[in-house]
Amino acid sequence: MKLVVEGLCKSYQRDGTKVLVLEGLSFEVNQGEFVSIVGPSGCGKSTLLKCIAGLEGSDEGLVSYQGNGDSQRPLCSIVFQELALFPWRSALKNITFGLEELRIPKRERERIGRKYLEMMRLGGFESFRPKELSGGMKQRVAIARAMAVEPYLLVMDEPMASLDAITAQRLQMDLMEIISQKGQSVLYVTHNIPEAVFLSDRVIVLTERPGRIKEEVRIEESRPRDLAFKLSSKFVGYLERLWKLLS
Amino acid sequence: MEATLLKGIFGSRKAVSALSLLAFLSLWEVGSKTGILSPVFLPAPSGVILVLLDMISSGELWPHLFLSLKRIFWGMLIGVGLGWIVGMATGLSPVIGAVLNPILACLYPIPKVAILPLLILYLGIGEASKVGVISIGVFFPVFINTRSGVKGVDSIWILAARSLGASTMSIWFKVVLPASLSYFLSGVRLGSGIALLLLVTSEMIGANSGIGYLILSSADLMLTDRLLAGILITSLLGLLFSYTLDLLEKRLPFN
Repeated sequence: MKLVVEGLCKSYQRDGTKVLVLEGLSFEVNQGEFVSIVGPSGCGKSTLLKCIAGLEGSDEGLVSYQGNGDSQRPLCSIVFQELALFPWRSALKNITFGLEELRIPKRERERIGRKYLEMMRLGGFESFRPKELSGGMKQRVAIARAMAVEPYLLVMDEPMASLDAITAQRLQMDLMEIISQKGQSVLYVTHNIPEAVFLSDRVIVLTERPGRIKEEVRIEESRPRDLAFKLSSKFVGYLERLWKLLS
Repeated sequence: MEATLLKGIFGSRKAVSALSLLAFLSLWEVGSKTGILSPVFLPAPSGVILVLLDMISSGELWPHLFLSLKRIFWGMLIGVGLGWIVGMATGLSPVIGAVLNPILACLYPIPKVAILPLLILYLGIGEASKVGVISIGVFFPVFINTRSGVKGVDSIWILAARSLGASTMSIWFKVVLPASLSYFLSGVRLGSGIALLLLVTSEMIGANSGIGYLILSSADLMLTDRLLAGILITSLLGLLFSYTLDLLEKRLPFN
């Protein structure tokens, strides 16, 4: 299934006046595609994600998922920027939260939960509580939790913003491998241009508020990608182009 | 040798606490025995303990203790239950909050003892009025704490649960409930102190049984050692509640 966003507009009431946050956004995320959204602070990226996830309604326009699919599978799940793990649940139980909602039997839930923990390289940390895990590990659990419900679209809101450079680099590499292997569709919001270029098939650049699409840059490099791509002149070329668009 | 011994004893805070308690009791004991403290007004701790043991072995204590525990149990159960339900409801639903909050805010400052005569008028002098006043006293701290716990639940957890497909019921019971549990428990802790206070008070007004009655009737007969034994029991009950709550809190998944 693919995500189709058409003419999305969203505004907020602030002191009686209307503040336009998103103005006529249209784009698609095809099955298996990794699309990043970059833009200056306050361009409405987080609002866009909430509209797409159905956590907020839009004023105008349409968010839809098109194509044939299993109606049991959730359309979308989110990895949040802040830490949104449940501190009263263990790592495994955090991951199985969404599976409980899908009424999957306990044994099956735990099997799936363990599979995703292993996948995020956290095997053996099943019973650890969030506060016993490092920042990078917590974000891995959060990613596993969102992926475990097997959504058509995985939405990620600056998942690496709070991580140090080394931890973020490792997580990027693992994410690249896992996402590419599974053919997972991802919509990724970030401030970090190199991260967007490294991970994405397409990078959508938004303007300042109200957010409109300024340009879309296709990253012509097959996935999974490795460190060599990050060090190539092609990579630097994309960085230059995006930085120019954003300055 | 002596220095290391002192260091060994005072190095452990638990030992210091035990010594402090022991020193206090010894001073009291010596004071009473030497007649510096009048044994009529302040009998020696050993005397109080002997009276207590006597009351235990003669079986005199048990009916009083049993009735007191029964009253406090039902009072706590009803007060905590209602406090939790109303706290969750007013915290979760702005409409229910708008309806109930002003009424409860008016009732909250009333000293609960002041309601006791009214309850006796309504419910009679028996068990119901005592259980009732304890319930009302326990209700308020549990209600207020649960409500602020529910209101303080980080909205990111609710968003995360919703994005994982959680129903409203799931959000209440699997997110809001565990997230507000520590607030709820500190409400119960406050409530247990109030319960003890109201138990003893209500047993002093028109009762012929219970720890409160034991204390008051001993005072009437100038039996200060029995009176102090009664106070000792209330102190032990308070410690028991607080210890039980400590255990519960440690078992909370937060810790």
